[in-house]
Amino acid sequence: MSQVLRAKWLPLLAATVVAGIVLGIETKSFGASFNVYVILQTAAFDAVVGLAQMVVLAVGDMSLAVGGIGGLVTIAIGNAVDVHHWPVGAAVLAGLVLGTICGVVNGVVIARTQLSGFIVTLATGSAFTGIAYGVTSAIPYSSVPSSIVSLSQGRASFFPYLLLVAFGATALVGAALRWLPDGRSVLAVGGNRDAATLSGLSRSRALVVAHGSSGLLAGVAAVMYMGVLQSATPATGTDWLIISFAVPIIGGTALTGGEASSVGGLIAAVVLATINDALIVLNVNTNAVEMAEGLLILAAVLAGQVGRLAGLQGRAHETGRPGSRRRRAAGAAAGGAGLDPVAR
Amino acid sequence: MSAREASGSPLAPGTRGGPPPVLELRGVSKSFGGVAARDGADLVLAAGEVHALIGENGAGKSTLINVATGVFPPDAGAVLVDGEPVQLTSPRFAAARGVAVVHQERNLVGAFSVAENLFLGRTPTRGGLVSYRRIAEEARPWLDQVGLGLDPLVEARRLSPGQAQLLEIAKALAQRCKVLLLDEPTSSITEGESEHLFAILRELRDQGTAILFVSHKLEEVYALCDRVTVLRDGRNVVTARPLGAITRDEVVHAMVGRTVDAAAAHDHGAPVGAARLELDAVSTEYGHDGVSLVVHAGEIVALYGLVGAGRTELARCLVGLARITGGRLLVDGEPVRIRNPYDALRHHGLGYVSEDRKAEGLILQHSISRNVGITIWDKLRRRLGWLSESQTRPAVEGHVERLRVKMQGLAQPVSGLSGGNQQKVSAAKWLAAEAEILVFDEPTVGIDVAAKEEMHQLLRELAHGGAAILLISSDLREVVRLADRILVMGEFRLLGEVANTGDYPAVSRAVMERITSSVHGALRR
Amino acid sequence: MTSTTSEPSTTRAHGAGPPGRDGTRPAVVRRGIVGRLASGQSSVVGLVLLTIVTWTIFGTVGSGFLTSFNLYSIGQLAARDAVLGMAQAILVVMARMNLAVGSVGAICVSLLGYMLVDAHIPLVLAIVVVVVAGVLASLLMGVVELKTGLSSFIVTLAFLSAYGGGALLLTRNANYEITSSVLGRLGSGTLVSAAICPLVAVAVVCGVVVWLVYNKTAVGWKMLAVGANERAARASGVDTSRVLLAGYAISGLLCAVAALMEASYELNVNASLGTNWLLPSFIAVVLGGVALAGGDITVAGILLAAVFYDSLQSGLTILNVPSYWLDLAEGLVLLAAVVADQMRRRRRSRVRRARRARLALGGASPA
Repeated sequence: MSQVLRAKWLPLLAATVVAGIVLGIETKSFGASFNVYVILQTAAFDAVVGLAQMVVLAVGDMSLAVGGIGGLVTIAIGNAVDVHHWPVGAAVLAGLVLGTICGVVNGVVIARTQLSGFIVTLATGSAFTGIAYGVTSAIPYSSVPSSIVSLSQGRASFFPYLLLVAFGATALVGAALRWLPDGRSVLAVGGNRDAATLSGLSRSRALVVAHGSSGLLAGVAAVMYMGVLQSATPATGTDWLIISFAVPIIGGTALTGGEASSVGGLIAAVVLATINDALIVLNVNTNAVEMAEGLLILAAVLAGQVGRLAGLQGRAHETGRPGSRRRRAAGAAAGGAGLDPVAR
Repeated sequence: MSAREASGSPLAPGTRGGPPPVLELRGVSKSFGGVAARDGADLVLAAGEVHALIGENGAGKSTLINVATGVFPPDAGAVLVDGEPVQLTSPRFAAARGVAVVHQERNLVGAFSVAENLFLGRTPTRGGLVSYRRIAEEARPWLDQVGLGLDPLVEARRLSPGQAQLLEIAKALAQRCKVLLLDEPTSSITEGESEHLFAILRELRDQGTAILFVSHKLEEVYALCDRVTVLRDGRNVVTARPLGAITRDEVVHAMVGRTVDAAAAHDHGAPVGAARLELDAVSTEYGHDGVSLVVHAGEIVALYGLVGAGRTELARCLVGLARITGGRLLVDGEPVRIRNPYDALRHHGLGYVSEDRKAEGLILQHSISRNVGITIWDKLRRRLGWLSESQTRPAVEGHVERLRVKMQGLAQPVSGLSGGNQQKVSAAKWLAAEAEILVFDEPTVGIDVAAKEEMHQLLRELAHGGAAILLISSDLREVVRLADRILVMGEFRLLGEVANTGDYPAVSRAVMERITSSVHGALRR
Repeated sequence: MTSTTSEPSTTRAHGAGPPGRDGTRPAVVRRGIVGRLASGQSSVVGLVLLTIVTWTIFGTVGSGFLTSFNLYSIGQLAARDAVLGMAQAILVVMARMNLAVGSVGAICVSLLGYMLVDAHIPLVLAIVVVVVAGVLASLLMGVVELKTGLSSFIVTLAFLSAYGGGALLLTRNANYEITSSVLGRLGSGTLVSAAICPLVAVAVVCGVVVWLVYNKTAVGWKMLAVGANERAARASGVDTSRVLLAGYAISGLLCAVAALMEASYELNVNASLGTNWLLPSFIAVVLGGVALAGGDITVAGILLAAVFYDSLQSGLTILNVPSYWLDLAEGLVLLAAVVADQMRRRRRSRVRRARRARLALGGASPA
C-alpha cells in the first residue's frame, strides 16, 4: 500500500478529483450520474487497452499491434455470430483465443529475429487490420449480440458494468505479474536482461508470454468496444495506439521495462477519460483532447524522469547502475537519449 | 629474490596425496586482436583458502577469471574442477559446476526483492504461484550467512553497493558454489563494508569455500588472504605462495618486475614551453576533488593510476563530455568553460584520443578517410557546406601515411583494420585537426608491439613539435619511457607527483608507494 | 521511373565506397554472389529485379497494368511514398524514428487549405509558409528531444497526437477543396509522356538533393556519423545537437513536400491527411535497405522501394483484389522486408567476422 501512496500519478489523480468537483459544482451536466457513467465507461475501456500495452512494456518491448489485434478479434466475433450463428459465448471465446494467437505470433517473430517489437508489430498490426478489412470489405456487422451490448451499456446508477471488467483485468494482470512465475520472468527480463538470462530465464519465453497476454487483453478490449459501439467494425483499433501508450506511461509504467503498475494504469485511464469529458462539457473541441493526450504523455514521462533523478539523489544507492556515486554519474552522463526501440 | 621470482613450478596438491584442488587452471592463455598469444598462466585454488591474485593492469587477471567462469574459452590450456578437466561454455554452466563470480557490475533486478534476486531463475512456488513467504523464509539463512540482516522483501535497488555485493555472494552460495571469484570487490564500497565483507569471507573460507580475491590493495591482501599468485604479462611470477613467506616489497617487486627498459631513452629534461592546460582545484560530477595540474607545451605529463582511479573520467571532463563542477580550467592561462568536444576542438585546440576505441574513438563501419577527416570537415567545407571525398583525401592522406596505417586504401572501413591500425586512425584525426593540447587515454592498450612502438614515437614527435600532452596510461613502463613528469591518481584525487628519472624500478617503487600508502591511510582512517 | 531513379548512384553514402579505387585489390572484390547480396547494393539490385518481376507478372496476368494510365498512377503514388520514405529515413539514419510524419503532414495540409481556400493567399506564398511550418513543427520535436533527453520514439509519439489533434482543432474538421490550377497540373498533369506524372520529377529532385546532402555536404556526413556512432561523433568534436536539429528540419521539409504532393492530386484535403503515412514511410525505409540501426542510407533504394510497393498495390488492384486486402499486403511486405533485411545483416556480420579472423591469423604469423 505504501507503494501506492508514493506513486507518481497521485498528484495527477488529486488534481483531477479537485477539477472534477469544481466542474461538478460549476456545470450541472458534469456531475450528472449519466455523465459520470460515460466517463467511467470510457475509462474502463481505456484501462484494458492500456493493460495490453503495459504487459509488453514490462518485458522491455512495445507493441503497435494492439489496435490491429483488436480489430481482427472484433470482426472474428462479429463474423462468427452474424454469419455462422455461433453462440455468443463460443464466439467470444474463439475471438479471445485468436487475439492470444496473434500476440503469440508477434512474440515468436520478435524472439526469433531479435528485431525490436516496434518494427515487427508495425508490420503485423497492419496485417491484422488488413485481414479485418479484407474479410468484411469494410462493412461492419451491426448485429452485436445483446448480451455483449447489455454488459457494455449496463450500469447501476453511475457505475458501468464494464468497470468491473476493467477491475478484473487490472487485478488479474497485477496478480499475474506478482505471483505467476512467468509474470516474474517478464519483469525480470524487462528489468535486467543479463541478470535474468544468466539466471536461466528465457527471454524468448518472456517475450511470447508478454505479447500473448497483450493479444488476449486486446481481445477483451475489442469485446468491450463492440458492445459500446453496438457494431463490430473493422475500423476498431485504428485509433488505439496513442491511448495504449498514454495509459501505462501516465500510470507510471517504465518505458524501459521491468516495472509495471496496473493500478496506476487504471487511475490514468480515469484521469484521461475525465479530462476528455471535462473538455467536452466545457465545450472545448474534442480534437483538443487528442492534443492534450500527446502533451500529457510527454509531461508524464518527464515527471517520471525528474522523479527518478530526485530519487537517485535522495536514495543513497541504486542497483542496476552499479558502483559508487562516481560510476553512477558516469552512467548518467553516458546514458544519453535512453530508450531506443529500433536500434537494439 | 630472483629464485623466488622465477615462475616456480605450480603447486600440485594432488600429487601430495591430498584432495585435488577445487579449481585449477593450467597454462591458460588468450590472445586479443593483434596481440601475440601469451604463455600460459596457472592458478590453483584449494578448498578453504582465500587466494589472492594480483598483478598490474593488463597482467592477465581478468583473462583468468573470464576463462574460469566460462565467459570465453581459452586459446590454450585447461580448466579443472575437482581435478577433472571441464569445458566451461557459459557462466551458467560454470555456476552449475560450482564456480561463481561476483562482478563489479551487479547482476540484480532492481525492482525485485532481495530474496527474489537470491532465487532468480528458480523461485520457490506454492501451488504454481510465487510464494513470497517461502522466498523470504528460504532466503533468510543465506542472507544470515553473509551477514545481511535486512528484510528479505526490501527492493534490491535500495541496497548499498556493499550490501549488493554481499547479496551476490549469497546468491552464489545459494547455488551451492564451491569457488567464489571476487574481482576487485572493495573498489566501490566503504571501509566499514570492506571489513564486514572480509569477516564474511573468512567465515566462508572456514566452512570450506575456495575464494579467489583479486585486488590491487596489498593491505587488504595481507589482511585477508592465505596464498598469493602474482601475474605479469600473462605469466605467473609467483604461484600460490603462502603470504607468510613473502614480504610486501617482494610482492610489489614481482608485480612490476625488474627488467630495465633498454629503450628508456626519453630526453627527460627537454626544454618546456608555456603552460597550455591548467587545472586549478577542479572538482567534477564524477566526484573528483581538488585536482590541480599543469601541462606545458612540448611536455608529456603522464597520469598514472589503477583502473577506477578516475583518470578517464577526468579526461572526459576536460573535453566537455562530462561536467566540471568546481575549480578552474585554464587554457593558455585563460579560464575557459568547455561545454562539449566541439568547443574543446574549435576554440581551444584540445583533442581527446579515447581509451574506448570502438565505442568512442571510431565509427567502425565508416571509411578511414571519414574517420580521420571528421575533425576537419568544418574547416574543409566550401560554401553551403559543400564537401567531397576528393577534398578530404589530400587533407587526410598525409597523416595516415605519417602514422603508417596498414590499409587497402582510404576508402576501407575501419572495422577491417587491426587494433594497432585502428588506434593510429583514432589518433590521426587529432593530428589532422592540428590539436595542440592532446589527451591520450591508454593509447597502446590491446595493440601489438610494433604499433605500440610507433605510437610512442608519435607521442615523442608531437611533444617535440610543441604539443602539450596528457598521457593516461596504466602501463608503467610506457609511462617511464615517455613522460616528463608522472602524476599519480587514486580514488579520484591526485596522490602526488613522481619525477621521472628514467630508472624504472625506482620510479615504479615510488609510484606504488603512493598508491599503496593511500590505501593504507584509507584503511586506518 | 526506374531509369530516372538509378541516376542518384547506387553507391552507399557512408563512404565505404567502391572497392579497389586506390589501385589495391582488396579482398572484398572476391565476394561472389552471397557477398554482393550481403552488401548494401543488394537492396537496389534486388528491388530492380523485384520490380521487373512484378511488372512482368502483372503485365501478363492483369489487363491494363502496363497502360500509360496505370503507370501514371503508380508514379503519382510512388512519388509521394518516396518523399515520405526519405522524410522517415533522415531520422532513421540518425538512429531515431519519426512517428509524427503524418501529423506534421496534417499540419502542413491544414495550413495550405486554410491559406488557399479561406484566406486567398497567393499559392507561392502559401507553399513557402507550408514548408516553413513543416520545418518548424519538426524542429520543435528535435528541440524537445534535445532538451528532455527522451527517446525520439516517445517524443514523436507525443507529437503525433498533439499535432494531429492540433491540425483538426485548427481546421474544425473542415474539408478544403484546392482549386489551384498550378497545383492541379503538378499532381494530375503530365510530363514528357502521358505515363509520367510531374510529381515523379519532384520526387527525383528530392532524391537527388537528399543524395547530395549525404554524399557531398558536411552536415550529411555528420548525420551519418551521428547515426553510426553518436558517442564517437560527439567525442570527435561533431556538434551533435546542431546536426540532430538539421536532421529534424530536413525531415520536416520533406513531410511538407509530401503533404503538398498529396494535396496536388487529392484536391480535396482535410486534417486527417497523414493518418496513414506511418506504414508507407517505414516500408520505403526498410525495403529500401536503410539500416534501422542508423548510419547508412540508400536513396536509390528508397525511391525504388516506393515504386515496387506501389506497383504491387496497383497490380493487386488490377487483379481485382478488393482494396480492403491491401493493408494486409502492406503489413506482409514490411514484415518480409524486415526479416529479410535482418537475415542479410546477420550474414554480412558473419562474413565480416570470418574475414577479420582470417586477417588476424594472417597478420599474426609474419610478426
